Amino acid sequence: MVIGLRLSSKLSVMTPNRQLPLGVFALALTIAIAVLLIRGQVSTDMSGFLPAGNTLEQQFLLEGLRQGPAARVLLLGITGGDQPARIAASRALSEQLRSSGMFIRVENGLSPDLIGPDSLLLRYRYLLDPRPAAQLYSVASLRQALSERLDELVSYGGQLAEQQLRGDPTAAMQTLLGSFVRGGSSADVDEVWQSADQQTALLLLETRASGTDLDAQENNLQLISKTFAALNPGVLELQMTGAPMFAVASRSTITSDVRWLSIAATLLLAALLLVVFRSPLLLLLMTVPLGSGVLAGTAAVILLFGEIHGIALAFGITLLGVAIDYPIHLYSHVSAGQVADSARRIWPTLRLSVLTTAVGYSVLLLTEFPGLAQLGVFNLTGLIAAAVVTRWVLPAIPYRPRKLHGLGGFKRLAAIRLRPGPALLVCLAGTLLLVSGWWLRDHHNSFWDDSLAAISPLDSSLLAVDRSLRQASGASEVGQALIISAATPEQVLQSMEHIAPSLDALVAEGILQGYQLASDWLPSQASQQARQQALPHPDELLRRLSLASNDLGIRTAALQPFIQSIGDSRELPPLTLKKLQDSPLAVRLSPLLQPARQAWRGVIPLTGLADAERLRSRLAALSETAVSYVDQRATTEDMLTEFRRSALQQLAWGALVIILILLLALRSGRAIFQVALPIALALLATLAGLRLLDISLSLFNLIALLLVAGIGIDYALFFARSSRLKNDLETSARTLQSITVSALSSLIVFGLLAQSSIPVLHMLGVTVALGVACSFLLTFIGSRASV
Amino acid sequence: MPTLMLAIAMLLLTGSAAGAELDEADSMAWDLAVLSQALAGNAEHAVAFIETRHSGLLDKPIIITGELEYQPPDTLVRRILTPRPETFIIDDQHVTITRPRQKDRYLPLATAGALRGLATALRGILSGDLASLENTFAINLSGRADDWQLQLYPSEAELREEIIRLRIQGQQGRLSSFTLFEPDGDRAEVIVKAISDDAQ
Repeated sequence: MVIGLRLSSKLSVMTPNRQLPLGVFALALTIAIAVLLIRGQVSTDMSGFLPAGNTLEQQFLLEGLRQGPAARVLLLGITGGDQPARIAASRALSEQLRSSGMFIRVENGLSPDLIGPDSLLLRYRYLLDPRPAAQLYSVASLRQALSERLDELVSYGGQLAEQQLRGDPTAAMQTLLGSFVRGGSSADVDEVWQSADQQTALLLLETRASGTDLDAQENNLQLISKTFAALNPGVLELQMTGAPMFAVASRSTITSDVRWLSIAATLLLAALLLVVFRSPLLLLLMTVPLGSGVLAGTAAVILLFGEIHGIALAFGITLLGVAIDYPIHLYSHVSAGQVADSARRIWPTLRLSVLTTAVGYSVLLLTEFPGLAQLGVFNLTGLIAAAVVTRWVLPAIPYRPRKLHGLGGFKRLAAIRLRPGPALLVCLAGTLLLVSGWWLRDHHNSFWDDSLAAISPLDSSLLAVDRSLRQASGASEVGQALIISAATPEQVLQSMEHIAPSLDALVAEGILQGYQLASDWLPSQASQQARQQALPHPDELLRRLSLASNDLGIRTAALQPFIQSIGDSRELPPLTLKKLQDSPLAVRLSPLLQPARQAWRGVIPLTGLADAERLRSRLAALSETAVSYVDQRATTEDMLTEFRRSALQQLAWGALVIILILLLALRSGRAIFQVALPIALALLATLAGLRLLDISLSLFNLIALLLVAGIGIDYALFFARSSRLKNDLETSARTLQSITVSALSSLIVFGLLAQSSIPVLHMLGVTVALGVACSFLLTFIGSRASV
Repeated sequence: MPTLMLAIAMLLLTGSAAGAELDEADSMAWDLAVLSQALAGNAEHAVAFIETRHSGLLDKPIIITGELEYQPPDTLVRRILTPRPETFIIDDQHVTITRPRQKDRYLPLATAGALRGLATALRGILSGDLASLENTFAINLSGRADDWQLQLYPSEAELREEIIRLRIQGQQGRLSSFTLFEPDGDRAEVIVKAISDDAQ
């Protein structure tokens, strides 16, 4: 803004060759901003950084990461204290949360929605009841059921027991609820949902706010905590997990970290540049190339991809950080107060530096990862824009920088000449020392870390709570699962029913502890119809009931509601997924049966699987069903490994291209040696340094190394330039000074980043800071070893 | 006035002869406060019972025997001996059901229907805190000190779906029987005796 105003006031006194670049710049700026305003959309979808997903397993995993209905679900656990206290707390908490109106659903067990007189479960109980219908309605079974109900009447008395005897003597409802409340285990039916070991009372919440409305989600989390605290829970503890929890937690870590980091980095960087250049206005001008690069890069990505990924933007800006060096070079080389002269003089070196770096980054375009490709486009465009702005726009601004002081030390440094042999030896020896340290060190951590945790900003304690709560609820724990894919929900449900006996056998053999099946809650229409057909005709049922109640003293006429319900059930159209959309059943079913790319996918979460091979071979025997076994953790790690390999491969190509360009530009094998070898050694030394610190490498270290390479190229080329100017000690010293200021500014920014509590930022900071130090040292020595 | 009532209460407790002389004209003096005093003075917190439950579902009534025990401040234990032994421990909010060779069950009282109303009534009577019953029931006291009758009508609609009326009878500070009337015409009649009487 300030620049724009200044430009218009000075426009009248400008020469035509000044107006042109500024006019073009203003136009380009307007276009870029227009693109951002019209189409600017930042996606935060993590899966954009994962490959398209070629296998069924990968697709399944990616869907899980994308924003689905699961993005609004919170799982709560109440632990500590004794069981009565936990149950009471679960009741009170869910009561208050329900009345808050912030949640579509609060499930803590048997809500009226689920079991009330109008509930689907009650209406469809005889079609959903999993017990074999043929035996269930035999005279003997009916007699057994009636006498059990009679016992309950003795125990409890009251209307409930009577209603049960009248309306549901076979206890279909209780059977259904048993599996519902307890996730399939056969313990007694309590009213409150608890973990299988009864140590945790569980609640499932679906928020009214969407998963992406993080402010609302943060309010929801606070509401839950406050409500729980107001219950005077004493020794009870509340645990929470779920996508909203993660989203809010990562946002708060990232914002708080990014805030203080960016404030500190800006202040320190500004202080450094002020000390060197002693001009606040110059400070402002120096941000123009970087700012223009970010704008141009973002606009280019949006034009090409339709949106920009948040991570690509963040990393893109980080990688573009090298562009802050361009104006430093420019203004450091101003000798007689003519910025345009300086721009012209440094341009060959700057151009080569930008080109090689940009080409190096552009290999990212070739990956199949949309996020990485965006990163490539962003940096290619951004770097070129920053360079063009440095070359033509900054000199067109009528500003005369002051003459720089303190060149004396740099002059002495510029005069240093080393003999190539010993210099090379020193570089090699230093790097070798680091590498041997790497080999000799006792490593606790593996070379590559391809776990999701390595790229997640989340605290590991949050993930631990998540794991334990998911385990407690038996619900879609991130672990092992079976995946069934079919064209319709009905086919998926039928497949599930088909493999259920095999799974039961595995449980009986102790190979599997448990599993969850959508078809337990929603049997396929085929099996509902089969049960329907096995229901006796009301007249026949009356006959059997009178035989069954013969000597029990029960009046058959009193059983009319039961006979009526069975009669109604014979006429019901089967319950479908569509029909239960708005019932509490839907929340429980959604992770187990989900739409997936014009097809349907069934997920069967497995718990306590002891032998995956046995499971695989058993399933293979059921040839007609398309079931696959997924170990989610292993699949994720496989994908990240694949991603990392692909990135490495691209980088190798990038390195080759960079060397070719340097060869073309410098036209001297010796110069290549002087430039490329120190960079290669610097990268190797950085790698060795990281390993020496026992840091496992992830994808993000690779991206950081990419930046190190870019910075290294810049330093090497400018050092080489300084070295060539042996007759102009003044200019040579300026070049040295500009590189030193650049290196110091990079060290400040990335050194601060290394202080971050977010693993990714910390990693990036450590890697780049280390890389800048190594690059500076090695490329300097390399450049002085020329003659 | 309280002194007078206390004196009358003492009179009631000490001798039935004196009590017999009180007639309808003295009903002013025979009120809930007096009955509370009388009940509270009875230290006997455990009684035996025989319950006869008449249900429209059944050809013949069910007969249940067992013991009722009040454990201050708010626990009621209902121990069934026949036809099948099991124990209900009812506190303010929950009921725990214990059966031989089975895991305990633990239910909120709110869902246990009639049991909640009955437990509230019995707790109030056995502890002598009739005032506490007024939150749950409309109370009507009639009869004389040596043959009184309490009628309890649930005030909550929810409870009225389970119980329409509780009739409780007793002499002085002792409970002798109660009857629970359900909306569908079913009823449970419970005769209460001192455990010591049984033992003899």
